[in-house]
Amino acid sequence: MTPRSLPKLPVGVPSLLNSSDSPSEPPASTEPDKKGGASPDKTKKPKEKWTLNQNALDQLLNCFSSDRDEAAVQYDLAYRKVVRYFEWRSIVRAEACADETMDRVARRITEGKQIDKPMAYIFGVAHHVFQEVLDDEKRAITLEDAPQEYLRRDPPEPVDPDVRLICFDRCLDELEVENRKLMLGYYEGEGREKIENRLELARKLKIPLNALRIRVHRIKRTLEDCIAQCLQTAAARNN
Amino acid sequence: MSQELDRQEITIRYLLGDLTEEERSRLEEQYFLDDKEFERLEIAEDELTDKYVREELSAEDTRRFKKLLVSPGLSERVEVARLLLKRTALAPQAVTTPADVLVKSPQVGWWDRLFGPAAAIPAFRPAFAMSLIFLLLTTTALIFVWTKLRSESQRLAQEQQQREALRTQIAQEQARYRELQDKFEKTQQEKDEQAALAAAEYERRLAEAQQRSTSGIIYTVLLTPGSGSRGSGGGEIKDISIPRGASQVGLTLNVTHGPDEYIRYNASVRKIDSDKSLAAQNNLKPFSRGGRKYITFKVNADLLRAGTYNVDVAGVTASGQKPDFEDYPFRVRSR
Repeated sequence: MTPRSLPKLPVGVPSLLNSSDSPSEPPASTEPDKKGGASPDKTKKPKEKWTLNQNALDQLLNCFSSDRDEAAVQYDLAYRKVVRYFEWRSIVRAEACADETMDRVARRITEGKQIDKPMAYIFGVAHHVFQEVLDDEKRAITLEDAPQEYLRRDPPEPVDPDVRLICFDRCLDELEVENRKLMLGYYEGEGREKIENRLELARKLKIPLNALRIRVHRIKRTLEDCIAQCLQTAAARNN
Repeated sequence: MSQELDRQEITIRYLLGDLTEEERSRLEEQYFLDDKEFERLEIAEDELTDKYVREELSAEDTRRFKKLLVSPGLSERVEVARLLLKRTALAPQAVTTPADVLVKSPQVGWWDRLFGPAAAIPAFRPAFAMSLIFLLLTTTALIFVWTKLRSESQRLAQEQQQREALRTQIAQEQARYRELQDKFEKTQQEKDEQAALAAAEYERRLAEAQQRSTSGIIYTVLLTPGSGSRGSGGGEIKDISIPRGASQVGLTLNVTHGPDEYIRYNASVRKIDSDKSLAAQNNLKPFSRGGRKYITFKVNADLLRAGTYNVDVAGVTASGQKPDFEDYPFRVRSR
């Protein structure tokens, strides 16, 4: 996942579903709309496409916290959760769906929607978006008898393995020495040896194995974010 | 513990798509509301990914995991896990130094990147080139200024060093001067002392010489008490002849028979027929010699012309009484 911090304005995230004005948006409550329009009203005259603006973004952030920094942190976390949600449900364009989800939430807030539990509401919206993706896929398969691979259309351009390796090495090098050693130590060895290594690391750090897992996971996430950023920069330069 | 294992099992099954829709939704809602739960899922994904790249998953789990790889994000994480595995498999010395992506990745040279057709926006190329030239000029100017400052700074440091050396030298000279001055003063003082001693010695010797020249010869006479008591008039009188040139006559009086209570004696010389004292000396301390006691005192020889004289001696007790003791008559025959 390319780390998406606060969206740049005007975002106008292109909706792969073209459903930013879909009637299937969640109702006023934080519970997702169970009856919502799983099948969009195709006869309805298409409205002008809604795009995220400064006001909408401000209101969305305020919904997380009145403190701007805290709100940004919460926004990032929410966005990551939504991306993972789509990824873990095998959606090809997980990030596009996540953008769509966040845009819809922002739009609903600008329309006067009061949200007490933003995460629960975002989850509801994400679930709707997912249902719409499924409907689209089903329709495409039925109408065009497309193969399963249809779902993987427009795959992202493959990353040059050499560039990835360079980014990996550079980002690994940017980690603090202790963190780098810890992560490499954690993934070192195979089978029983690997388990012993991890137990030894936890013993040395005087922390439980689970805490070690969390620590390594956070370091790895930093590394992944750095690599994603590096790849994005390299791609932009090459284009 | 068992509950934890169950949760892990459910998490793994969720990621591999092995839960019912209801179970899935419940877990999803849970991790949307609970950040820790979400992190637990991410960690489970890490573990699954690691096992996948190490080919430690069963065939069935591998197949299921591959279904997830449609997403570029997750695919990228799998690639990172692969690189991580390679890196940990390499010996530490085999780890290559990270290099700049821009240097290695493209086939285009750096010159072409900056000025050639591969540069981002052709319209900006001259501006970019100008910026680069400006940067180079600025750098050159900075280097020149820095060099100048450096040499100036070195010169100042050298001068400072020389000043310090001079200051040290002056301090050393001053210390040496003070030392010499002290030495000179000490020598001068010793000289003065020696001169003073020499002068004192000279004066002493001069005084002695003067005394010797003026005092002349001391003529000593031993007198014993006359027989009978004082004023008795009779008895043996000692005759003495004072030699010419004698300036003083030392009278030594035998006071052996004096009682012990007489701790001192007063002596007075007069002519036998006169009460006028010619010479007197008080508080004479007796001294012992050969089992006898004596007192002694000097009389100017000029006072003693030919004639008969008497020495009146009185004892002096501890209480201060001065009882008469004895007469010591003597006759001066000639001078």
